[in-house]
Amino acid sequence: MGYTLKKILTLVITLIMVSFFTFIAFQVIPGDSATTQLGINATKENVEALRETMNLNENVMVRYVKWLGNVFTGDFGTSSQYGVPVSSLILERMPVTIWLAVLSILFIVILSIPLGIIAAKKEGGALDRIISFFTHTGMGIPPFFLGIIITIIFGFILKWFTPGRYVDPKENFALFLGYMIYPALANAIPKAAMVLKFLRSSIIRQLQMDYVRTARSKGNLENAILYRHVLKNAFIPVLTFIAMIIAETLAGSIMIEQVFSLPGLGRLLVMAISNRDYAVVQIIVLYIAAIIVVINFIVDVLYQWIDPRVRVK
Amino acid sequence: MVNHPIIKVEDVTIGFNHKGNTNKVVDKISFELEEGEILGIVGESGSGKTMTALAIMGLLSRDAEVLEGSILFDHKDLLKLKQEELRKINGSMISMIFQEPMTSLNPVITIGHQVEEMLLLHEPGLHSSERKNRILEALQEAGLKEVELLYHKYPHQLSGGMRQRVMIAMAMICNPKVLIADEPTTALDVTIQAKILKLIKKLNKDYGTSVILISHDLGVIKSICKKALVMEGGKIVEQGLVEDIFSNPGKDYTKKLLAAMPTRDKIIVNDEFNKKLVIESDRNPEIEDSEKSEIENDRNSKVEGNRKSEIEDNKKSEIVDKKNAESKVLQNSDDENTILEVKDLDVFYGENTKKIFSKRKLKKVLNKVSLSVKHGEILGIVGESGSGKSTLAKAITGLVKDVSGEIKFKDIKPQMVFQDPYGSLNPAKKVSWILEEPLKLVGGYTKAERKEKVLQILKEVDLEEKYKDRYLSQLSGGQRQRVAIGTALIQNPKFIVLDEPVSALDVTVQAQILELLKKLRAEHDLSYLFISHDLNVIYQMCDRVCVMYQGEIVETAAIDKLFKQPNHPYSKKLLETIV
Repeated sequence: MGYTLKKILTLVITLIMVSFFTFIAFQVIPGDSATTQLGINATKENVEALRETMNLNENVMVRYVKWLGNVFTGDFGTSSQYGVPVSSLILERMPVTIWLAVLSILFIVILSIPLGIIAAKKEGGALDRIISFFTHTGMGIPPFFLGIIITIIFGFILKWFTPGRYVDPKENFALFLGYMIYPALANAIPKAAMVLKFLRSSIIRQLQMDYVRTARSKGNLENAILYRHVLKNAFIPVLTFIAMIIAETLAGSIMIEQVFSLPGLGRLLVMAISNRDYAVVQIIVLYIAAIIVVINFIVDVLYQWIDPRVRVK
Repeated sequence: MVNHPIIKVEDVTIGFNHKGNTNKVVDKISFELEEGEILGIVGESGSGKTMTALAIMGLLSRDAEVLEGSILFDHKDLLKLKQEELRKINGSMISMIFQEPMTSLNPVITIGHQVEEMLLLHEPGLHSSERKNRILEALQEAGLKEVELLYHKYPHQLSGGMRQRVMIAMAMICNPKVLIADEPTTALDVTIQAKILKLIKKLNKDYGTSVILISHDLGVIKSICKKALVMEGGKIVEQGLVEDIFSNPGKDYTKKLLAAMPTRDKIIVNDEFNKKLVIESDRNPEIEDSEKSEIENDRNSKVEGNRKSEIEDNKKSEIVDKKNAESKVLQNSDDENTILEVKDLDVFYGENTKKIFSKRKLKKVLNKVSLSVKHGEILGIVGESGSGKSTLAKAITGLVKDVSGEIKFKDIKPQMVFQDPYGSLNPAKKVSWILEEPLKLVGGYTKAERKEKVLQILKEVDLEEKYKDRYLSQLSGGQRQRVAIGTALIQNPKFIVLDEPVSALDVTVQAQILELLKKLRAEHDLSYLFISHDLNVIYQMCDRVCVMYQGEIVETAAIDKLFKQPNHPYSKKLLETIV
């Protein structure tokens, strides 16, 4: 398992580098947390005092190492915006984003994979054309607008949910999930359309390969050819794409959170940036980087399994 | 043996439907395949031979259709069977192997499972251990070794020859009555070609399996078929016993095919080879690896001697041959007239290491290669794929940077023509753009001058003026290769490197391109470095030839000398494989 170990090592190195650069970046931008917290009219002495308490006068490297050490122990610092520990802020917002992502991914998979297979199987037929029409429509509509349409249809016309009445998961988990379905749908449809289109063309390309002709010559039925021979090959290029979409979804969708008034990480990030709440921004950036790196790691491992040609001896 | 037909093709017409028009690709063909015989179908690409085979298997693509006729197998018309019934015959009764062993196997399924699928489909009752035994047996029968290991391997871990053997094992495992082999050796190296043919012949003999062997190569057909059909433009133009067709071709087209076949009567007596093939066919064909090591041992001992003879040959390079009489240049040439001199050239390829921080490792692929090309000469490089021929060409033209040693040119750097005229030219550009590009890169030409030059070059390569505004997709393979030659020619080079310039082309087109190259050499006072895996082409074109094997030049000799008395064991091996 030397391969996996090496991969994990690279993963850790990447994350440390990302954390370093985000930390440095915020030291370089003019205006620091102390000034932001006290406002422009604060006296020099007051700012200086706060800088001292916030340890802003120390060497950047020393502060980075301290910060990194704290992060490892779970102490993410204090949010200058809310005055509460960053960790509790994150813990509060994280479930919303995670659940939105999980439901979105579920919808993406349920919608794109079966429909992609059907469309490819019936290439050029009526069903393929209908699916293609919806694919293009789905890709063409921006998610926030799709969110509005979904709100109108399911919220105002069908009255399946009350728009804007977000329920906290700790209060009533079932109601929370019931509400989350709609933002997840709005989030998933354009992405599912992309995956579908990609999968469809990948299957069609694979169906023209020589090994498919061999499989036919062996006396396989069409379905056996599709499921036994083609799908695994067709998924190889799609896998990376799906992984990137999953990573994107997990990173949080600011648009969707805004439209459905969800207290997720995306909105927190936007607020933190505009308020120069660096402690929060750093952690969220680190989280996003970690998601991307970890997902890529999983994809690499999956490739080892799905494609023998990239397998490492 | 009682001869009665096992497959009877009657008046079969196959057409492509295109916007309501049918374009016939096979036109009313009839033939019979008798039990236990090997029937050859020969013709150029587009003649309909593959279509015929696919129709028998029911594997025609969606837009192609059998318009009329019947294909009888065991008194059943295959064309009228339902998919379910056809499925039972395919694989178990009639099986097929294809031209491209590299792509005909599923890349993500192990060899064992791919062969096993055959048994699962057609003999579902077998116990799993029984199945495995059968698979291992079949792989062994196909001349593969270490079958237990092979069982768990994936196609990309196998060489082309081994993959084709796997295909054969797979096709034969259910003991089919008929084996259809569509260009089974075309994509393989010459040395492996002969062995695969031997194997097919052996299976035919041992199991009485009837074989339909499709090939564009008359040599292949001649070597193992008793009867043959010649197809042209979707019609059978001639059929009968192979001997008759070859010794006494009745139709112009057959004559043309025969004429286009590079000559070699002087060198190899083909019939003798055929006899040998039949006799040897009882022996189990050896695996490639064992032979390689055999040659390797020989090589170490003989390499010194070859170097010396090589130098002597260089001195005596005024070859008197009818081919060279055409070119006035060679007569004036003397030893100082060297166009290209390569000395002790080593070429390396970067290898990816799996470590996070490490330098790029270099792997040596060419080892101390020395050669020289004289003014007006065509120097051939022959060898199998992987022997380093193309790498050598790339190093000479400067496309590979990791080299050590000496490469000296007399004039400017040489131009290069690549193997694949389909892939090596930009499909998004018109012919005139492609031809002009080198002039733009060099600079110093006005637009009008470039235009004029393009027209002149088109004329040189025998393309009509109208082609300048065409895209490459509108040209045939031969025409594309003419364009490629044109691009090389447009800067008035003195020296052109040709990397397998005709191997992607049909035989008759091949002959035309070779003629063109000869003509251009005479007119423009050119020298060529001519790379090919095909000894026949080499013989036809070259004055001297270097034999490459595993990254080294093992023998350099005048062409006649090489063909009459090959020195190095590998050269001998190579010459033996000519079919």
